[in-house]
Amino acid sequence: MRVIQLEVPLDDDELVTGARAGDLGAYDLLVARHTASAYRTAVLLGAGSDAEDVIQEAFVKAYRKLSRYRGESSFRAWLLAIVANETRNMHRSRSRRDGLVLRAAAANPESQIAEDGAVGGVLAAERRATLVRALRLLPVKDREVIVCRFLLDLSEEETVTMLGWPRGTVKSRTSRALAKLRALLDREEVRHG
Amino acid sequence: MDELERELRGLTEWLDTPAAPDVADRVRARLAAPARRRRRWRYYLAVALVALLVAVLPPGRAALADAVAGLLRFSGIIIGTSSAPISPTGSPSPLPSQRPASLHEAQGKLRFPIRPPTKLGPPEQVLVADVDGTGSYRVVTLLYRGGALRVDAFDGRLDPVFQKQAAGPGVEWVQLDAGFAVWIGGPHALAYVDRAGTVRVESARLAASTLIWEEAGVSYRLEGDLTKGEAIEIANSLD
Repeated sequence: MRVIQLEVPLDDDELVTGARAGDLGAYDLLVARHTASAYRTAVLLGAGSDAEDVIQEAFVKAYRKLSRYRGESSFRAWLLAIVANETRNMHRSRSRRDGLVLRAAAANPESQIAEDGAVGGVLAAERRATLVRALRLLPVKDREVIVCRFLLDLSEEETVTMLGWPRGTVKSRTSRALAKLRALLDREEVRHG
Repeated sequence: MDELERELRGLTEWLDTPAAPDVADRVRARLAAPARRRRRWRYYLAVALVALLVAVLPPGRAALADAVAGLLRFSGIIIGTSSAPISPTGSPSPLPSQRPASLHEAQGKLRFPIRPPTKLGPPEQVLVADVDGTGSYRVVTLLYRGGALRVDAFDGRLDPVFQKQAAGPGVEWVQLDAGFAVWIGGPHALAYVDRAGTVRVESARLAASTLIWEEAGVSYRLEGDLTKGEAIEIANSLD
């Protein structure tokens, strides 16, 4: 059990060492291994249809910055920080409002009804749609921390690296964001109920 | 974990995230110029590695594994970070058939463009070295400050050209506009691997602080009494 826990992080570090010495084959493996979570991160942070460009750019930049990665966090968290940054840059350069993507990414409630085949299913689908709407209304930083901690399921430590905030800020921002989300949900319930 | 947190975690699977695209090939292509060169190097490196091990290892002594682990390969230059000295071959200058040339003449005899750093201006003297059968030279050296500051450039697609011997802690990676570079902050032994694969050590002196980098397929080595910051500024100013 111990061995398995140790092997995973060591593996990335070995590949990083290889890539840093110019071994592009090692870097290929890192790209392949982290494409899925990088892509998911870009989409959930609002990159939308540009997510593919964003992660491509992020991987190229990460390679060039590899000498600055000191291994104080996991490679994944370090990479995701670059992805998050690229996503923000993209918004800035195209002056687009972020967060609109959760709408496009939200599950289509109709398609779930058939599967669930019950009134409970309809209600659950409605609740999810409400949740997505509420998320979209959150301020950017609140939404980012919710995306990191719950949708991407990152640890507190990884979130610290990824957003570049102090640990205390991650903690307080998380609880504040949850409180705001709750308030938004209550309002929705009242309006619909 | 409260109900809302559970709901948020559960929401993930209901979000319609498209399947992740395969970007590995495109990323690779973007990093392509160095990739092609590096792949070709591997063949040459194996050859040069043998030469280096012969040079570095006192017979029957230092462990092979240690010597291999202490090697850093970068941009056509092999840096040995073990403390064992390169055994000198007795050659007074490491660069074979080195001779002065004008900048214009030198350019005509090289397969890559000469790009003097704009921070340094035109070189005081230009040297070319290691000619092949067709009259084409392999290395160009630009001299400044009466020869105290020098820039060596060579086609990075060729085999490893220089070998350096430096103690581990003095060697570090630094960031340039064009990518990353290796900085060696102190005096170290320098050897040149000629076309025949012979390791030629300059026995007369130790190399000063050196920055090694590559740009557009050409490898550069800047040597002189410089701080790391100065060296990086010069390297970022290639014409």
